Amino acid sequence: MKLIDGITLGRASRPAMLLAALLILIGLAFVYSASYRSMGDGEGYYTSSPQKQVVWALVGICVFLVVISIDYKRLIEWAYVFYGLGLLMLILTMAIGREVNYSRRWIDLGFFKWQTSELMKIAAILALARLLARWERRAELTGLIAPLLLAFVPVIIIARQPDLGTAMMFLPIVGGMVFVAGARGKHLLMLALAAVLAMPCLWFVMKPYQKERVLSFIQQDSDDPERQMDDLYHLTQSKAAIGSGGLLGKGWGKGTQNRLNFLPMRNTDFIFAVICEEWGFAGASAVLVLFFLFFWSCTRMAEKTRDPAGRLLVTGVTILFATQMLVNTAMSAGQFPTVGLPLPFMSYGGSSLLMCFVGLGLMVNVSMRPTILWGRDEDEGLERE
Amino acid sequence: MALNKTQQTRMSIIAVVLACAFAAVLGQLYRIQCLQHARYEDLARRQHLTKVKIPVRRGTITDCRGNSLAISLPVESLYADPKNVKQKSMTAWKLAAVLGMEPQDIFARLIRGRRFMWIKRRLTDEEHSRVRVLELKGLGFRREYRRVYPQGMLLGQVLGFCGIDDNGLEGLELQLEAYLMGRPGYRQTRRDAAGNKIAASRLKKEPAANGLDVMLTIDANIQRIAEEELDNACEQFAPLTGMAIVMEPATGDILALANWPLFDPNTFRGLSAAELRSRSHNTAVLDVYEPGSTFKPFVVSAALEEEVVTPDTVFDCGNGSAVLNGRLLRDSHPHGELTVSQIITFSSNPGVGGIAIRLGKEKLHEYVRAFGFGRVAGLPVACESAGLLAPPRSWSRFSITSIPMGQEVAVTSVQLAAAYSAIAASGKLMKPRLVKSIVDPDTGQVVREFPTQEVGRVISPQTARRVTDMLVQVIEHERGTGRRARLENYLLAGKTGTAQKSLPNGRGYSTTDYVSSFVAFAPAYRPRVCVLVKIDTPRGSHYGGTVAAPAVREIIRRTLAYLDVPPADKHLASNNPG
Repeated sequence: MKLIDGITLGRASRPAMLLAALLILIGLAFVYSASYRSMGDGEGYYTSSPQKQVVWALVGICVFLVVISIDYKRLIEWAYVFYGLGLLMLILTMAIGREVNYSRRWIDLGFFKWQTSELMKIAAILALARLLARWERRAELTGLIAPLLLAFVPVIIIARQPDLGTAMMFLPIVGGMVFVAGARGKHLLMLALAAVLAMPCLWFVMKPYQKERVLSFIQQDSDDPERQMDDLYHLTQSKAAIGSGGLLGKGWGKGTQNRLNFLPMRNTDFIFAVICEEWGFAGASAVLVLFFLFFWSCTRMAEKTRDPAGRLLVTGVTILFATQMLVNTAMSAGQFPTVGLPLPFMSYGGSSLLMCFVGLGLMVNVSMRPTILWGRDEDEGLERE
Repeated sequence: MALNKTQQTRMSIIAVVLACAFAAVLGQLYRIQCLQHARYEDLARRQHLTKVKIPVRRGTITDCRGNSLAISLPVESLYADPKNVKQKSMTAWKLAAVLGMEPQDIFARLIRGRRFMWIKRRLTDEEHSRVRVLELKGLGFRREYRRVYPQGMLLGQVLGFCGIDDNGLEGLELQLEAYLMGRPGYRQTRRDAAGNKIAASRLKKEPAANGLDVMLTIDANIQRIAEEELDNACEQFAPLTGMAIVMEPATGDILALANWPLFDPNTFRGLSAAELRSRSHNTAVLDVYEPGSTFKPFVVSAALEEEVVTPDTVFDCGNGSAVLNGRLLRDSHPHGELTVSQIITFSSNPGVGGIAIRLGKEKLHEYVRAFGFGRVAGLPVACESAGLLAPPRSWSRFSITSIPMGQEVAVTSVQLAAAYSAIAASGKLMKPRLVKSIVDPDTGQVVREFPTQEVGRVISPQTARRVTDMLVQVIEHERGTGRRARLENYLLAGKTGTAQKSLPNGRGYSTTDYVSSFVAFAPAYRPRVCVLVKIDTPRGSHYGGTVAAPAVREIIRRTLAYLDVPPADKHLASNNPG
């Protein structure tokens, strides 16, 4: 039996796939450039991360094919199971996770350090899509309790790893999905207000290093050389790399801050700074435009589908990618406190790249199956055109 | 329908929000990459570019015959890059054993958070090779130059000395810094975040320009003679300080400039700051003193030039004490009536006072100033003194008799030697010269020449000759005050000075402390050298003729021999001048 037929495959959103492929290729090029390690005297070597990233991209394509071959409605039906499995993984991570830099985010599978929270994001989006697609109490304030609860359970666990950056990602996702699902504007406003009021409380549960990051973000323009070598180091280096790139950049593989080891974590969280340094403002804005076009095609997919669950799924994934991408670039450019969030499709890292392929697969999946539903909801089956 | 519509609208709202966020990031990138590009490029440059100094060789100071007096020799200095020193404690112990330092001191430098720390500068060749065989990580050598004074004490105070970075701190080393120091070169290198140097081409390089050599008018051999004789005299009379100067009258060139106690600039590092200041003090140029009787010939020169007296004009010297202008003047030995010549020969105070009164204070001041007193001689020396010479309008009624005896005026030794040289050189005053030329060591070309310079004619050759006749008598007359300077084969012209030191409170003069001096030029009628020896506060005797004259005699005797000046029959010489 054929898993997937030609007509279904033909409906897949080509712009989204094309743009994603382009971003991944550019990402690979810069992972390569950023994997150079100078040893002095003009000597240096490349780490194995470019090869690994290629392998992960190939694995990712397989995963992508698997994801699009299963009807997303089936996946949404199973959403709570995935959600449960995701939570289990998170709890397992807390128990047997590998501690790196004082936080437990990874399960060591030997060949692969698996960051469980990456897949939890997708599982949560699926679960939310399932819940909100048949959201009877969307007009009531209490109706918000269920989706919020769904989101907050993983948030609490991930925040305790601690990984505040990833935990934060759930907020725009749940907010955006509830918003699109049709929650009352009034209620959302109250929710937003509550979130803003809760912000200061966050300060008291933050770890010292997290507070330091927020403080150094606020004081990032300090000219104190001691601080520039200390708590401002990441931010200063990132801005030095970006700023020294100028309009046209130093050329691929020629960024001094990159190649001479000044920029920390440059093939993962700070890869955007490498792009800015070597391709300049011109190249960086081109990459931003590619991202924007990608998200634009995603929202087109969400608009096209007539299935609320599919639309919510695309919305959730789009918001996840977009926020993560915006937070990452804003952080590199000094507009956001330093958080360990990878740039989707581009940063080095298997978990992140796999999550991107799964997310992309889900969205393409939706675009492939714009089915007329035979459901009960009065909105279903009504077409715009 | 309604819900579908709502959902689509809300999707659009999310798209708009996303677009705004994109715009914000793009704006920030524009700000950093385009507007503030220069600032961040500078920040990046400062991180990955470093300037490495290319050491420069300091110029050599030579005497007039090209003998090195101060020279810079290459040495290796040891530094550490603490970050790359892995086994700090072991490294410190090993280095300490080789370098003779405390391991704790070295260790303290190795744990500093810098990328460059000196461990020991100016290693000896042995230390250098022993450190090299240790093959320790994170250490490096840097070529530097060490200032060496190969002649030891010779000309010590005049040369001065240099600091650890070969920069002049005192004396000529300081004053001629602009010529000597050269311009260090710079080489830009890239480095990575760990501070490792990256050998990179096409980076800016600025070659070093070596310092220029300085040739002095000093003759090392004459300098040695002057120092030896000065040392002898000072050993005998144990003064506070002593000074000798040898000048060539025709040119004003300073051939020797000696200060006692002698000072070796090679070994200044062990001395305390106060001790260093006093030991390295260049008395000859910096200090002024009341010259005493050595001043008298200038008064006589003026009176002869103005024709108010002739050598044979007679003055009543009052048998040892005479009242002039309401002031009692004394002589150490009583004289009755003396001619002008005899006044110089016996150094009579009332006699020279009488001459000065006849000359008048305006003329006296004019001539004293013309001889170069009261203004700087113009040597390349910091804080060179102009001496003290008050204008006539502020003179008291005693000044007209004090100044001729060398009181109420203060002079430097260089001024005095130059003024005597003027008498020796037929009345022409030359500007004292210490630096002859500046030479580029790489090309051997003279970059700058300091020509001899005539300040002006002070007295006529005839007057100069008459005064010289009198100064010859000071030495040749059997009771002349300078008879101890008499030489068998050469005719000298000179004058003693025995000046009471003024009391520190400024009221009157000491009766125990004197500045004893003697100045002479020789051969008297074809002078090659003018020599001044000044002994400050000698013990045992205080007469210039006793304390300083023998030293002057010996300096002249040895210098003329060195200069191959043929000995001559004295009487022939005096009768057949130049």
